[in-house]
Amino acid sequence: MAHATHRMSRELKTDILQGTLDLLILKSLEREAKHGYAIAQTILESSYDMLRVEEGSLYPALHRIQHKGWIKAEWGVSENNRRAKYYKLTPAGRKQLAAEEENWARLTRAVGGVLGYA
Amino acid sequence: MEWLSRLIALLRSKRLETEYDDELSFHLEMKERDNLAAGMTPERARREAALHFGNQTRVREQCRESNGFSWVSSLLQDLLYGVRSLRKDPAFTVTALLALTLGIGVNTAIFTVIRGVMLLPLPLPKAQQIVMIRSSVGSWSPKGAYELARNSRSVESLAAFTGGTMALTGNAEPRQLWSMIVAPSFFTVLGVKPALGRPFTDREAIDGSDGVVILNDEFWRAAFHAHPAVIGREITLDGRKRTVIGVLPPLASQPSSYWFGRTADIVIPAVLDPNEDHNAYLQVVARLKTDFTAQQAQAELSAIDAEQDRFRPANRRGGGIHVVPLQQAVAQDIRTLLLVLLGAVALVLLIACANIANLLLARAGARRREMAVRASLGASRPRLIRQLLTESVLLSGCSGLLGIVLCYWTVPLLLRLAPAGQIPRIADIRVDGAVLFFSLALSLLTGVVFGLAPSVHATRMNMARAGRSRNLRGFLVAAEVALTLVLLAGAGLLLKSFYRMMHFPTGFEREHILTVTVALPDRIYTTTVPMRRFYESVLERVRSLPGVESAGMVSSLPLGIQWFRGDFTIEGQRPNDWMVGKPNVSADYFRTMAIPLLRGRFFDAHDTNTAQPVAIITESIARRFWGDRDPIGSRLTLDDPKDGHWLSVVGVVGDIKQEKLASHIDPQVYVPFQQEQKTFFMDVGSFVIRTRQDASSVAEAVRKQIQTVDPDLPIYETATVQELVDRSAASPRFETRLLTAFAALALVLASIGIYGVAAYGVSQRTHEIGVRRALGAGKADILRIVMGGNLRYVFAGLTLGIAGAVAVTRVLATFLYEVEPRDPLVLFLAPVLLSAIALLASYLPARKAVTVQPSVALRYE
Repeated sequence: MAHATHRMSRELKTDILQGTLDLLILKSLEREAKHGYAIAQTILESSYDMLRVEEGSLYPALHRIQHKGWIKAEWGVSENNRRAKYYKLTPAGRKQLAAEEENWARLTRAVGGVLGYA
Repeated sequence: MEWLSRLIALLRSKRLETEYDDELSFHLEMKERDNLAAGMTPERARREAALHFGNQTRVREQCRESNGFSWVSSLLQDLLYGVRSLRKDPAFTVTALLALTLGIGVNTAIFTVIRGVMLLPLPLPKAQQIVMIRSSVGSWSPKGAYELARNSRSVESLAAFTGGTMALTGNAEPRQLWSMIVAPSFFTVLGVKPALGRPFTDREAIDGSDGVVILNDEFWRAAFHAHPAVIGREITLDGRKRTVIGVLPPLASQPSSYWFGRTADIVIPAVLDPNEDHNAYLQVVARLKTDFTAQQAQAELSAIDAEQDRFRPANRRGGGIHVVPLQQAVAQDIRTLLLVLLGAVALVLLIACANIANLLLARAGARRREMAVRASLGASRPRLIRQLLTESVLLSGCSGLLGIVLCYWTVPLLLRLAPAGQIPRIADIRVDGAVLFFSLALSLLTGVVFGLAPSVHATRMNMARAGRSRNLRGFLVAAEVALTLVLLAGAGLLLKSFYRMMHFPTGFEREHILTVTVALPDRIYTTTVPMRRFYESVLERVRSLPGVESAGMVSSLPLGIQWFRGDFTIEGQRPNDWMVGKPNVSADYFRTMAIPLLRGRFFDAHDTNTAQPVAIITESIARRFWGDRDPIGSRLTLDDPKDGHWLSVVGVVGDIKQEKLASHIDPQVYVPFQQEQKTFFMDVGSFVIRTRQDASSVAEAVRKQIQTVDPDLPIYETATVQELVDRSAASPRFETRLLTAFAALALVLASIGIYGVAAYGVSQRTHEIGVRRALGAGKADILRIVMGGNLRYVFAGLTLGIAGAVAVTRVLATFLYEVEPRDPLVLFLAPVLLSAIALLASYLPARKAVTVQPSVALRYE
């Protein structure tokens, strides 16, 4: 019994993380198209160096989100004149971002409420 | 939409691969640049970047997996990889393919037969409503059948029928035809309509005056070249002209084979007297109303039967009625054999699985390095297991396909090996889509069964636990040995039984005796007088043929087509419960067949129909009812004692196997054919002719003599006694051959398995053996060490196998002749044979180990 509960909580955890990663990626693409490295850098910098997205999670996530139709990829030329793959939000991605931001806000409000910060 | 984009990704997978690479190397480059900017040395910058990135292959792998349909492409990849890896090890691949193809092939073949014979619905409309209804004695009198039809609520329609032979004359040669004699409702019950013409009318069955006949499709094609104008033509059957009124469709040629083991040529209406209750010679087939099942009909008819039981004479009570679905009834005789064979081939397949699992485990040892390399290159463990399983399934899938190909050859072979008429519904046995599906499903399952443990094992990187491999392999050897022993014991029992059956004296001579059988049409031979005259004149003519030593006549030929049994009563004794054969014979029958006279005399020319009625009994009857006293002169009757037809015992002869080779002794009371009272016991007769040379040399001359006496009489059958013996041995021979073949297959597989494990063990321990040799271990010690481990599992398997054999061989009981299913000799010899082979299989590799020079062995690492 204990074993089963443990497994469930672990799955829950990765679910939240995955959803959050998707949100972070979408958000970082809100203003402009970026290549993978820039996405990781943006997230790192805007999180005050708190959130380091591992490459091992980033690229699979990018491919996954791309298949969902929220972002699309194009090959372009990078700032140092190298061929790089640029990702940009699709209209569906923009809607998804809005929805997820809303969700996140509700969640943090709720957690804040529980913790007595409201 | 998501699946579409994934599908596109799959189709573009080649390009995607390079794109991953480009994207990831760009990422690395960017990182390296930032590191440089942060002040690292170029070398350090690159290393940090790479280090930070981690395992590139794994990232790529995960990207690929996030592309959804990746399993298709990775399956293709695995398949290609599997093909390559199997080609690299042809010895393994060929062994495994061979073992699996045989295993899956024989299973598919047996399944094909079982499906056609037992599982497929009969090719008749609403076949599930058709049942056979059997009485307590197995057959029905006309009165019984009529009452059954009148009383039952569950029966929609019912038909009584029987079979027989008829003589077709009027053309050049008289010809023996197989006929079905049926009530007109027969066609309604089965749901069969004539393809040409019409079925019988009820009137035709009441008085039979119209003289009609319906032809079977095959006979129509053979004899009338499928000419439609045959309707309305007259043919002469048993001396009577009958009008052809119909031709059955090809499909309907099968129903007669359901009951008689062969196709009837013609169908004629049965003329039944509703009050006739003395002779029970009819079978009953019925169609149940749609809302009744066979079980419900059984319950209803049993209740009716129990009520009627009270009005019956004591010796006819309590037999019970049995309602059996036709589909089941048709397969009844062969059901047990087919299930035993299915069990046997399933064991063979399991042995093949254990064997290949073992070979895979041996390979797993060799491939651990390959797996480790692939794992360090980023392949996850489930991925590796999947790849190895793909290899196994690839192997078994190929074997499944080959097995089906094998089926096109083995199924006809099986049907050809089977004695004629033993396997019903041959037309329904075919290799088709369902068989293909069965075979592929079986091979898929097989691949997973034998592939799972080795692949889990091969991908286990923790070397400390690798030692378990030896346990697993030992267990597989033990299982293989146990299963093989069960098959060996089964085959051993059948072989011993067959040997006993063939060597138990038949009680008559087999060499130089020809038999010629005729069936006298009772429309022409209406009384015993012309029958007697016919037999007498043929015997007289045959005796004077050149090359003939002696000739006799018997109404039921040993191992022949018919044998009547009944009760008998000894004067002055109470009725006994023995059933005896009642053949009538000519005086020379015993001498011709070399059946020995033990007391009294044979029949002779004085035993005519006007003389005192006499009988000769067999030894078993004399011993049982007279003991040490002399039976000669005692009187007995084969009829109701009240009728007062007493026969004097004039002689005692040796017992013979009358019914079949698998009989023990068939007690008989012989009477002279000159004194036989009933045409019923005389209308089939066989001449037995002892010749100086080859028995079949006089066949043509004998046939001519019969033709001279009655030009319209066809020959029923001509066969030497040896041929009769062979025919009677055909079924047991078929069963024994099949099971022995499967056991031999199992033995070969098991010895390959044991050899493989032993050889692998030796190759693994070459170094250790070298050390031991260098430290002074003798050859015997090495042999003991090397073989000991292996043999421990073999003996565990033997013990398990003996227990299994004791538990399982009971299913063979019905096939055994004078052998108990737990025959000690067989249960002793089978393990001995298997141990000998196991010893040899483990000795050969061990001997190689012993001959290795210590110095070589030590350098081996």
